[in-house]
Amino acid sequence: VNEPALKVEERALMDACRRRDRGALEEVFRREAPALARLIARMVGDSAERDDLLQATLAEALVAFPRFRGDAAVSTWLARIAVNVVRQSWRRRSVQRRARLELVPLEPAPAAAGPDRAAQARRHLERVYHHLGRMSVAKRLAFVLHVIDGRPIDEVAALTRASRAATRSRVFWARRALISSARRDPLLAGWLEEIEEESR
Amino acid sequence: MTGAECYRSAGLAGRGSAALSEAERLRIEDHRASCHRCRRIAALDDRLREMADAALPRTGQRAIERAIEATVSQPVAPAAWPGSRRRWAFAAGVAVAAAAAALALGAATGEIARGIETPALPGPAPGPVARILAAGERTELAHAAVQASADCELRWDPSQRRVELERGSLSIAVTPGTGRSFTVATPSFVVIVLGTELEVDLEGVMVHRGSVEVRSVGGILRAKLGAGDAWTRFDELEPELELHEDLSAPEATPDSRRAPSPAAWLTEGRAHLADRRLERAGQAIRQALDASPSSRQHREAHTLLAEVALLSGQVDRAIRHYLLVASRHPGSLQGEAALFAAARLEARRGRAAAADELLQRYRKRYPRGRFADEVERKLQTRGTP
Repeated sequence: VNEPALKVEERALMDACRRRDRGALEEVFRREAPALARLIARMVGDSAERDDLLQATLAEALVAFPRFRGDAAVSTWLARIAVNVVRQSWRRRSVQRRARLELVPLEPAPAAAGPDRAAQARRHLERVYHHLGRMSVAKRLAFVLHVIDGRPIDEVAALTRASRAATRSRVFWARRALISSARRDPLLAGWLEEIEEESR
Repeated sequence: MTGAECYRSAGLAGRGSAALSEAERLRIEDHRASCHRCRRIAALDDRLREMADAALPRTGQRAIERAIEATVSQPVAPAAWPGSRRRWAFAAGVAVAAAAAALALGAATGEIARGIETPALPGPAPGPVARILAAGERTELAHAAVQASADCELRWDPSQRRVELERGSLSIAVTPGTGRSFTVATPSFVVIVLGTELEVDLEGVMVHRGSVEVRSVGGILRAKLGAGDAWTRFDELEPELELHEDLSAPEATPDSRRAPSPAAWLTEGRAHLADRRLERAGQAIRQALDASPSSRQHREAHTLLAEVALLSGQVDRAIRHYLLVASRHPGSLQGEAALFAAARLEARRGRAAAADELLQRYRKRYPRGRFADEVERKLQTRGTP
């Protein structure tokens, strides 16, 4: 086993995890689960299935731990499992994700109204995830990992087991598709115009 | 700067640029100063990231603890698994067992969804207990975990294991296998439950798991529902609004290869709406309404029809759809949003009295609603107490 990057204690912890020692697994899961939950949330949005996906990720990790070689940090390895779990869940889904269309804003939201702005941001985000849900799994995955989760292209490529060029291309086309959908979406068109105004 | 560098600049917005050297960062910033395309992409990416940070709810510590506990408490097989098929079989087994444990744990702890914890009601009491639950609040009533989907007023009779719902909407998970029934009564109908998960409001019931019986207040059986079924008290009535729809519009031609379910029609309607094919969107959504939609699909269909009407410039028709959603689904989020939307549209049409009336109705019905602050501001601006 090649574990150059792991410290001695960490190595002992990983060894115990490979033996599926309950205490060690709990320690690692407790340390890594909040970041995994955040990653899953950014991939799937405000979806009721987030908790199930987190649990499925941990269950997969539990099974796969004996094969964890330590080439990468355990956080990276778990993130890769989470990405695979989410990808499989998207692929299994035959019916497009349902989005709640609540109402079309007819007046611009007041600039300083905190709760209103938060509610509006939630509605915008819901629509963004709705449009992302209509893209191919590969594009959607690359886009959410790079743009929404803020991971560099190289890391996204490693997580999704794709080439750098393919990942760049997927992010590019996903962004383009999102902009195109947002322009036609009554709830997002103004939001997009505002961003374009700001960037001028 | 070359195209590749241009892309690199655009793709390295925000946190992705942490690995850059200072010189590279300066170079990219110089480039962005002169490249509108890169600035626009970076602004979009930054905004999306900020929005996700601000608006995505965090997974609660309890949910994380539960996931960990359910995972590590499973019996595990020996560490070495030579065959991939056996490995996958084991993975599936662990996942299923973990999911079952989660369900059991969820049922045991009364966890229907993330919400506010409140202590369980006290044990058997001599008569019904009045109870008000805020939206999201959770409690346990006998062997059922109950969560308010909207602000609720109810009376709980522990001796009869009966909830009388007077206002709002409830999600209920009744622990199966106890052999004891659980009843939810509204002014219009009664739902008899035996080990199931369901949502109920004053308009109807939607079953997620198990089965229920819906009876009239007088005890006559109205419907038997299984998992995935829904029933509204309007199901047996002719929807008034459909009479106002454009009957001359050509009928949509259902594709014989596609299951003509309300969900499929709504998906099609949403896609047409997103692409501004308004006529086809309207046809598809009306097909959904004709295909026995659930309560949730019913309110979504009319919300979509309101949007179609708005985009077609038919504001009065949009108001009618919103008011229909508001009156038929007052306990739902869409019902709340629809009432507010109708008020805004009335104001936009210059009908101040009608707008005020709707805003006051909103204030009365949803005193702590999502738009309560804005409603207050609008009423104060108009000088309405």
